[in-house]
Amino acid sequence: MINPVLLLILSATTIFLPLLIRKRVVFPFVFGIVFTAGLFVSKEVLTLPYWLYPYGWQIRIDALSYFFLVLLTFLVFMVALYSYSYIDKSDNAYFGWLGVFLTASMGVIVSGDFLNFFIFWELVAFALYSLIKKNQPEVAHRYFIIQFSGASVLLLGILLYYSNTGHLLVGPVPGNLRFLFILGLGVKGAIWGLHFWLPEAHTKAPSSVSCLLSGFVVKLGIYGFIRLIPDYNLFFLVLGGLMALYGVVFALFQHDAKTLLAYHTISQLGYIIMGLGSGNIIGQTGALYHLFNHAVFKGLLFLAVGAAGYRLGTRDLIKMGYLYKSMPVTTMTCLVAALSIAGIAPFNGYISKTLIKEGLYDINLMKHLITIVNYGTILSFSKLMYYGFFNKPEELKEKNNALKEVPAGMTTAMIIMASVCLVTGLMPQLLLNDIIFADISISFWSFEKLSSNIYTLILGLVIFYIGRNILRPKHKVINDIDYFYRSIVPFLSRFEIKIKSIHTGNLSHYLIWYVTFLVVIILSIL
Amino acid sequence: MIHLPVLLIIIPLMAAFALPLSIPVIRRNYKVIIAAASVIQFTLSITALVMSLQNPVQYQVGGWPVPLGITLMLDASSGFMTAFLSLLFVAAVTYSFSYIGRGKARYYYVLLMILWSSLTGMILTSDLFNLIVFIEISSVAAYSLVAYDETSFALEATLKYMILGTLGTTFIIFATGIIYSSVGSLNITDVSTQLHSVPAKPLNISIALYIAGFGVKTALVPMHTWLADAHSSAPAPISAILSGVFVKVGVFALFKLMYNMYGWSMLTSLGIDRLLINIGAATALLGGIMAVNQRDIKRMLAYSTITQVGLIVMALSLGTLQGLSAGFFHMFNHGIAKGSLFLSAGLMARKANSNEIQHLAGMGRCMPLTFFCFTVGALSIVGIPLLNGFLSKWLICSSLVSNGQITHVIILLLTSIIGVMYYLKVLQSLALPQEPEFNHSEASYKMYTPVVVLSALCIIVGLLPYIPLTVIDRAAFDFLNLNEYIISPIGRF
Amino acid sequence: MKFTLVFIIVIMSIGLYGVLAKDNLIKKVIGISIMEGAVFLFLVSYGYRQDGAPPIITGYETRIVDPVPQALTLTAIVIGASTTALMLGIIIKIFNNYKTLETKEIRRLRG
Repeated sequence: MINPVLLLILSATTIFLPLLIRKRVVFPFVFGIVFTAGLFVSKEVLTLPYWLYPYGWQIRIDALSYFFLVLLTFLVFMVALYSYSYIDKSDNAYFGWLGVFLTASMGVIVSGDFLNFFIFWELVAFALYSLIKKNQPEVAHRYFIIQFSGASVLLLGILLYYSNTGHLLVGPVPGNLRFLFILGLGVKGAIWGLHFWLPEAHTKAPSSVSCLLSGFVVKLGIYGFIRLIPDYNLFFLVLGGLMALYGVVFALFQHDAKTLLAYHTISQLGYIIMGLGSGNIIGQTGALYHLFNHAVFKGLLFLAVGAAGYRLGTRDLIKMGYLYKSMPVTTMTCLVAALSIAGIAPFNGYISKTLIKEGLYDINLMKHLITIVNYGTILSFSKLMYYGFFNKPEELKEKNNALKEVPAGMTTAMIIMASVCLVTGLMPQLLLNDIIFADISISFWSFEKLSSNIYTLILGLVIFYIGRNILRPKHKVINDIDYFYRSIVPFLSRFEIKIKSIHTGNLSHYLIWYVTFLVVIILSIL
Repeated sequence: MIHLPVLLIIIPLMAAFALPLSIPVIRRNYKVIIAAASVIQFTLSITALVMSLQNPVQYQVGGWPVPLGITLMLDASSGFMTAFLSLLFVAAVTYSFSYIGRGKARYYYVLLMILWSSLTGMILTSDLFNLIVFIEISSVAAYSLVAYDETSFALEATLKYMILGTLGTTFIIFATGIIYSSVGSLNITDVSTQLHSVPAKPLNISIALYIAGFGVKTALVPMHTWLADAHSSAPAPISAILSGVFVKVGVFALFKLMYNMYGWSMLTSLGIDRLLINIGAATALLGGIMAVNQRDIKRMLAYSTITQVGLIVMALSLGTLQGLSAGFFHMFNHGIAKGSLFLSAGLMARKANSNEIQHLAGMGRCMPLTFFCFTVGALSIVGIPLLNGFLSKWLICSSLVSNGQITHVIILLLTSIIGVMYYLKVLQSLALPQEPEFNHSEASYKMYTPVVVLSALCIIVGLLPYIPLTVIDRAAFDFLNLNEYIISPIGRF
Repeated sequence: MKFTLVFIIVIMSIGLYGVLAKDNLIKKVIGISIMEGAVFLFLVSYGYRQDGAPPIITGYETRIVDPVPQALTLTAIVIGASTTALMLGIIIKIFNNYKTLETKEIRRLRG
């Protein structure tokens, strides 16, 4: 069993690797070592008194942290493997920032006190900012400002918690502070109302970074919800339902593959939050399981779409197609991921969606909502697979046929993730017993469940076939709610220009302000 | 070592006077005198800090006992400020050796030493009129140093600074006159024991005059108008010192008077603490709003200084020990971070021959070490964790929350968010490659060493804040209880 | 005492008017000097003691006025003189650069 401090030091060394080692081959191996170390970390609580004296650092690894730790190290390992081929040869600093991301996320998960939780929370946002900044500085800038604002709200909540309770240990927060924490955690977790940064960040960032973003970073928000706001069930149910529906509806009409996947992340997060709010152990286990699964299959989807974009030069569905012959591995793994996210047996999505459905057994409205969202998911992923990979437009035939498969690093990562999808789908007890430590016995393989599953799949495919012209990707821009946020900006800049113009530069004016201030104070004191 | 407080003031002054006198002998090598004086002064300051942590030292100038003579008080807070001052001055002097070209550089060093000596005097003194004298000396030195480059911008900035500053000093002299005429003594502790038997109206007017007078030196709203011009037109090491230390010494002196002479209970009954904390909040917001979309990088950094000084004033006007520690810690952190920022910005601006941000684009690639120092300073002020700025922001926020000032915490967080906007924009435009590229030549090691030392200090204090925090806690405690330490021939006050 | 105070306030207001309302830089400097004069007057006048002699010890006085404010005022006069000299020097250089002495025109730094 490995000491948590050792694990942290190990992941901190990955930050400095690019400075010391020139050969890129080494990097994925180091991340693999961190993954294996993470599997064997010991679950304990210990305190480091000398870090940031006098506050110290309480490191706490319990079952939930262990689960997230395994997920994090696995995902970063896969992304490192993928990035070995995906990222430009000249850009080795990317792996350093990947190490920063790894250490910072690890810090968030293992921190038992709020100060360090907050420190590493902000460092995660900063690491992501640096990862996105290479290609798209504008987007990264906006992302960081939004995350920083959310973190400031979180800071306010933490400070109020500190002054209310007098200590800084992570635990459930009192009721009047819940709203602040929901806002602060929700900016990272992309809950509805604060989700508008997600599609933009995903579309413009490199695919490996999107995998991390969708796969893990938004889950940190959910981690915060589980730890800090444990029983706010009605709110979470409503929020989750809203997110699930909203995400699917917006995803159906996107033409860029990654924007479609980004809106789907919102939708699946809605599933997870619904599971959290269901109030019983089955639903909550389903939420955690779906969290893991979503990281794996959404990550895989992003990686596959990124692979297609790597060869094709674009991720626009209008220009994609005819790839199933030239890039078979990519297509296959993407198909596996799409089936998983749609919840088709025998892949892992089936297990977690069944668990969540069982958890919501007494809330009929939600069950109908889930069914509708399920159909929407199948429709949008049929759209992705069909127009992205299987479509055979004549004009693209020669160009796309001549493409080669992606390099070995990328295919290895994708195949490993696809097999994880399959394995955890066929043997759910592996994850349930060893990692989530839940004691559930539901018959997943009963005839009625499987048959309704196949029925849903076939009905969804039929609907898609009928409506495939409506769903054809077009160049249409759909405005999300950040339209409202952006319309505030002109007012703010006018205010700022007004204040700047008051500072005229004329010395007499400055002197008049000064003396007026003095006279006002004297008169008010007298 | 008994005469340590006076030595701290006299040594730079002697160096300043010795410099022009020794030119016929030394010719070009006058820097030797300055270097020797800086080293001696720095060691003496660290010794003073260590001594003051053990027990406070009270020094009567000329041997005259308390009500008659001038008291120089070296307690933990003055020791801390002196050491902090010396650190930044040593960095600025080392930087100036290579930055300031020949020509009239002798005058520059004379003025710099005079500035150092008078700022130390402002910190150490416990006598009201002595404070005024040192304020005037430092102001005159500062005016001349801002005008050093003699460009039209520098002259205009000096003019505005001078007229506003002289007005401020006039108000301070007026307030001192009121206090002397009511109480009859000029020693801070002596006055504090006799204030209750004095008519209230003149005292209240004197409080207002002190706030207005020191407000100009400290650049509180609405007396902040000179700072952006002055700090952007001064040579880079002078901007670093003015932004990093000069305004902080003003805050220190103002609050020394507020806490020790008037007593916080009297100020609370008048509502001055509400006034000061609101002025701090307004200053913070105004600095943030003005800094967005500036074209000149040093002007942007100057407005950022105004913001941070507003935060310091917010923390110090709480009246609690926690608030005082947070304020002092932020003084220290902002001083080293802003020093690092101005010095590295000076290097980059000299390379690009322009102060404007758009002309500096891509500079980060050519001067990676300098750019790294600039980034560390900028991230520290923004409040990225693991750097020192985050810790002091956390401490200020928690002391504000303990006092129940939630609105002010929201204002502080708002200014942080605005700070992210303009700092990150500059960092990005500096970091990305541009066409045509500047040639890759880092500045000389003589110039970037002080910058690297300051940035390294930022990172070290961010990760291991133990030593600075213990010193500052002790300094805050001594600051609150200054009056207990001053002994008069009739007995303790 | 009251009469002196009124007189001081009048002089201070004249000085303030000069500093604030006049646009010419020389007039501002003159205004500051007048204001400083008011402050000096305040300091010295509050050192006055009834029937006091000037504070020079010759052995024949029974009472002297307070010497401390006079010392303060001397110091302050010197300070005022040096800052006025510095201000005038800067104004000369500004005139060389800007060719004008109106604050309306000396506004290259703003915003």
